[in-house]
Amino acid sequence: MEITTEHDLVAGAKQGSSTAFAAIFDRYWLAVWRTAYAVTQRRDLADDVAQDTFVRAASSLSQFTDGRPLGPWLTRIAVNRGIDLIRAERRSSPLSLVPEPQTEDIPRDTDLYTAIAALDLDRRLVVVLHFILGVQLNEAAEILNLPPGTVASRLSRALDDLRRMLEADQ
Amino acid sequence: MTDDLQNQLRSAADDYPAPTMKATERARRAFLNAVSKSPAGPRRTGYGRIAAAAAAFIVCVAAAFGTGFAVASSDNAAISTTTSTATSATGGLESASGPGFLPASGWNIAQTTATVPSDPQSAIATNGQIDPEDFSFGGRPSNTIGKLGPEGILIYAMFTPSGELPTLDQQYPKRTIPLRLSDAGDAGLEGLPDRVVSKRLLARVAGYNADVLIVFGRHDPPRALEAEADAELGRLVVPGCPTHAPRINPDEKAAAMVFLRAWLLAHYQGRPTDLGAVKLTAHVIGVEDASAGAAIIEACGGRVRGRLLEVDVTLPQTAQPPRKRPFVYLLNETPGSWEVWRQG
Repeated sequence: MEITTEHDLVAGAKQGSSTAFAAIFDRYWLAVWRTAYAVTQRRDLADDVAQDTFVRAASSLSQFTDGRPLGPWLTRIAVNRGIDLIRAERRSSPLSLVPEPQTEDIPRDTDLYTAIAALDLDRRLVVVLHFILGVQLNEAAEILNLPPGTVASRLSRALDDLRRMLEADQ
Repeated sequence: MTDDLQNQLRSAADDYPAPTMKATERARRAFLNAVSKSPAGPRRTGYGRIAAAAAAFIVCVAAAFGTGFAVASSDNAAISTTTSTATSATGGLESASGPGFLPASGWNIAQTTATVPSDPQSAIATNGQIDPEDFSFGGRPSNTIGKLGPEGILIYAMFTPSGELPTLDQQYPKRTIPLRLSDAGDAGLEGLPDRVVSKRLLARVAGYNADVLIVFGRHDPPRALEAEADAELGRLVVPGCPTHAPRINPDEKAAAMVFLRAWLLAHYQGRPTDLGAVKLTAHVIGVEDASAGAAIIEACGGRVRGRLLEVDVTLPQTAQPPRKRPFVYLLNETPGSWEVWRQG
């Protein structure tokens, strides 16, 4: 049973409760970081993006609308910041010099994670949000600012891509 | 195939990359620092920041005492307190600055001094060396944890005032000092080195919510090591009621109010000009008719009668943020100075 509701946490944070802020961080940090990683595919960038997400959230929480879910809002900031960062990196260095994902980031189920990492960003994001972070498709649509149909379509294509890649490996 | 793949993806979540503890702590620190400067965080003017920094050197005050006297509410946002020399809940012992560990041979300790009541206060104790980077606090001491040897123990306690959010308080079971290792459960924290084992103990005690992490440098620590950790937990103290303070002579009220005016100057976070028109009235608790007297005696017991001075601080009507009711501060005498407490 969840004892503390998100509403309580947001209300507490708006009143300046450090306990509430700490609880918000603990509750959403992992999901925000994984979202950042899904976008950037690099630990160092994911660290920066996820941290920046929370710092930005701190400065704008006072404007956060009561009653809205906090998780999708934070995730959306992470997605946008991650994409901004990747674009900035690409502008500042030739594409060929953008580092590939680090090998130590590939977990035990190597084929599956290699396949996820190889997906296009748009499709990878939907897969990570839905399957890794457990976000429902309509919520993912809100996070990505896309129609739900588009998200469902991307997910379907992502699964096709994954299936193809995994079958090719066998 | 599609179902298999979807199941495979769902079950793969556990192995998806996760942040390191170091990155987590750095981000946590950055977030909490940003919070303290944000409009949503504890309000603090430039004047207040400078003054509070100066105040750290000149005043010693306590943040809260006794169950029912935890600080912090939106009502109280305009005035802050800092930590101070405080009587420990173990009776008669003096804690250096608010919640923290008492010194003991073979243990290194460090603790923070909060500058606003809603700031978390943290304390570290280890039988090894505290990594210098961890003196910055703001997060778990991951560098020290990373260097724990097989016989190493680290205890990291974070205190936040209770009473801010009742639903949060419910997560912290009411306990009494000394805290005990046997009440701790598995910490279930990600990002710790594989070789260490961690336990977590939550406690609501003396107006604080305490989140205590106990880390052993090896799995299955022997009983002797657990006993060491238990003994150190026993040295974790929090401010208690000032039942041992000297009795206050009514003639000393004027001196106390002079002290409090100086203290307010250092801690007030509204417009400094408000303090020019501030009105102070003082009553000795249990001797004179103090508005908070009965509640304080109920929480702390009759021994505080005559030992605490209630000072009601009424801000001018033009104060920003406006406030109709006075702030209630309580002072007890210490050798050569005063301790300031605030009623929540």
